[in-house]
Amino acid sequence: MIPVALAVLVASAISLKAPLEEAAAAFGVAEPGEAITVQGAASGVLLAQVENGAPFDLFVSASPAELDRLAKSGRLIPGTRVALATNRLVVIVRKDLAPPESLDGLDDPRFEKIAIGNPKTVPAGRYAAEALKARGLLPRLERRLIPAENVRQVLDEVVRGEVDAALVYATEAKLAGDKVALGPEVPEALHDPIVYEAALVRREKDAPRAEAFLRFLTEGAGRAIFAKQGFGPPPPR
Amino acid sequence: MIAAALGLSIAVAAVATTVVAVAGAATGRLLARRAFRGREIVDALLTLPLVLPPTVTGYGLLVLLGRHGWLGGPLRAATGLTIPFTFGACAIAAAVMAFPLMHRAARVAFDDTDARYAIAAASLGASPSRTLLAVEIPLARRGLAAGIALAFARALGEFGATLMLAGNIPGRTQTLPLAVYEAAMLGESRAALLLCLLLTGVSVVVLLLVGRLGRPR
Amino acid sequence: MTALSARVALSRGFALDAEIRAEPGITVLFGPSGAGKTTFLHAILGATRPARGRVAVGERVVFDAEAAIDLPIHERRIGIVFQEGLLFPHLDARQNVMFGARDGDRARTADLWLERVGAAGLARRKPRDLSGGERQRVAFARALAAEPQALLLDEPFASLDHASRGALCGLLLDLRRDSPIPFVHVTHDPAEALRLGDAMVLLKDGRVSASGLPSALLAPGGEASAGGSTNWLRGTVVEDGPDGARVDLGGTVVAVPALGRAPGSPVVLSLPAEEPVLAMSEVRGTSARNVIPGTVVSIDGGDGAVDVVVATPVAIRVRITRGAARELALAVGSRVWLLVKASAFRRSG
Repeated sequence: MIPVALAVLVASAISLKAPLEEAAAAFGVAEPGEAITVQGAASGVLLAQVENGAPFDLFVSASPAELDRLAKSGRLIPGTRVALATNRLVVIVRKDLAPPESLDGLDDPRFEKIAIGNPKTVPAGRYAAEALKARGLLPRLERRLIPAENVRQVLDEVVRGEVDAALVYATEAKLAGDKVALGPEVPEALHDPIVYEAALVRREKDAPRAEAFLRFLTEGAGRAIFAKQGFGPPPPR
Repeated sequence: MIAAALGLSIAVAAVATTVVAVAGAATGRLLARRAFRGREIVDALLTLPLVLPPTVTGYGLLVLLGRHGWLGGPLRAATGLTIPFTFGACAIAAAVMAFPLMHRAARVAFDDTDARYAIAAASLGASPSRTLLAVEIPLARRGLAAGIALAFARALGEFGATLMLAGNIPGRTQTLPLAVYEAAMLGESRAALLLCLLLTGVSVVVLLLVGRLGRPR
Repeated sequence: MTALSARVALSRGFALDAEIRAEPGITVLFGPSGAGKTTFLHAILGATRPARGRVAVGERVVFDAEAAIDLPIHERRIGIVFQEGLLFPHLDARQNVMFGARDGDRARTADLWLERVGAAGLARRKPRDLSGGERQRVAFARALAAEPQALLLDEPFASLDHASRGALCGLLLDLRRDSPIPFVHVTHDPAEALRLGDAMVLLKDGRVSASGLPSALLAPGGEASAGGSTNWLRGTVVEDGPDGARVDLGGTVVAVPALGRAPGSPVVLSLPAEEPVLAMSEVRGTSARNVIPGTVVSIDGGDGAVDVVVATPVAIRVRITRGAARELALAVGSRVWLLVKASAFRRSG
């Protein structure tokens, strides 16, 4: 348990886990010290863990809502909250199907099962539900929707062909490469902006290294890693 | 949400238990009565879901029964039916996890009854099915009933394999344990507590039943 | 009239290679424990499959290894009564008997059979509320109500006390009298064999070592006597009273203690070979109630003792010391008298 206690523990939206790990490695080279460990899960799941006292130093969420809640209950260190990146929502279908022209095309009966993140805990699912609702598709597609535990599972279900279509982040679709067929982007106007935000979690001791890592993420080298993996820049303040 | 999850859980457990009662009694009896090469290996394989992590069993079921699974693929090609994310998936996951309990209880129950009762019944002209129904099952009934009760409790409480094979769709595949999980994840502590009490209550009733049945005559 | 014929060989687990032909009546399958008696019965019944052999009830072949005939137990119509009875514990006595009853009115058939075995009052009792003897009575009724064409009895009296055993033996003899089927009765009790057996087959180490009349096989020097020092004698009560009884052993009438049996009843007596006193001339004025003339038919010298078999005409074995044998100058064909106290005879069945 000792190495874990020493390490900086980051709770991360699962879609941001890969760039955070890459950034952690780069940070380790620039500023040698204890390891940075990234745990990825649905932001809502991580939220519940932090609320129950999980020992995270840094919290990175795929939507501002989770941070709002933590801020409200006083679990964040005020003034540390910062936006890191943005993302887009895309339609994907399994690789042996032709993608629809637009989001509305999901209404086609050949998409028998459509996976989205569980809107209650998965921000990607929440954005997806907002978009479907905005297009009036939600009531018609409800019986075909399969909620998943996190956005990575949504992607995996399309890769394995258990579902026919899904709404995931553009960065997720990119990860799957040709294992899925890429459909259209979902117009951003249909859902809340997808903004990844981070903040330091209030702990008994100060975590200067977590603070340094958070700073690293907002500076040039960190930004470059997000950009390289397909994330958009954070919105201007 | 609670009523739907409770109803679904009971329906899933009832279907799974019915299937498991018959299948587990059959395999338990086979292994108790017939000595064959590799009997203990077969027994170990049938007991596997009891000792494997439920997620491993769940993943195995996905590989087997998924849309493109070893069995799920041909099934879909032949009938158009798919198993994952359905009531059937819940029932299958619960049944697979509950099966070893019934199998083991049945094997012990049949092991404990003198095989010569069946010989006596046959010598009186009773067909194998009549011997089974009128003699062997009544003689093993306590062990079998205890196995059924335990299987029901296990099916009711199944979580890991269900989550993997059936997902967590409210109203469709969200059983009580999955509802507890989600309520806890969402910080809905009142709902989580209520669901826990509900599950605990049902389980205590089942265990009391097992205790009664297990008591010697 | 149907006979049960069975030739059975199996080598898996237990080596058995035996043949039996049981006519209607009681054939005793006799032998020490471990001789293969139960395995033999199970093979006849169909509970164990022999490697080779043939089992037939009358003309009906139920097993033939060469012809690939192997009827399942429930089609063989061969009944069995186990040592412990093995009544179905969840059924009462009547339901047990009804289980195999073939007749249309099975309850009536069951009641008739329960009455026949003297268990009419036990119809509603569960097996756990019956004594050992009562259970065996019901087991007999259950087996016979199924109208088997042969009945196997696997030491049915072995776990009963002496009194119940005597009563059950009497019942079995009654049942045999009324039934045209062969009974194969397994036992290792010589008295039981002598009292019940119309014929006897001796099984030893999985093989038939002898067969014939029980009285002959169990007689002194017979194959089943196994060098034992007890004479097993079957006879018929001639008269019985408070002062003693007289029993006809088949040409030799002996005085024995009171039996409490009606004249004409069968009885089995035991007489230890050490009991009779041998005299070379007729002795008068002795307290011994029996002075039996006879002829020496064999003299068998062992280490410490000599066994002399005397035909009276019933063969009786007498064990004397070597010195006594030498002094008397006994030879085969010698005329002798046996002095036997009435109390030396014990009733054994």
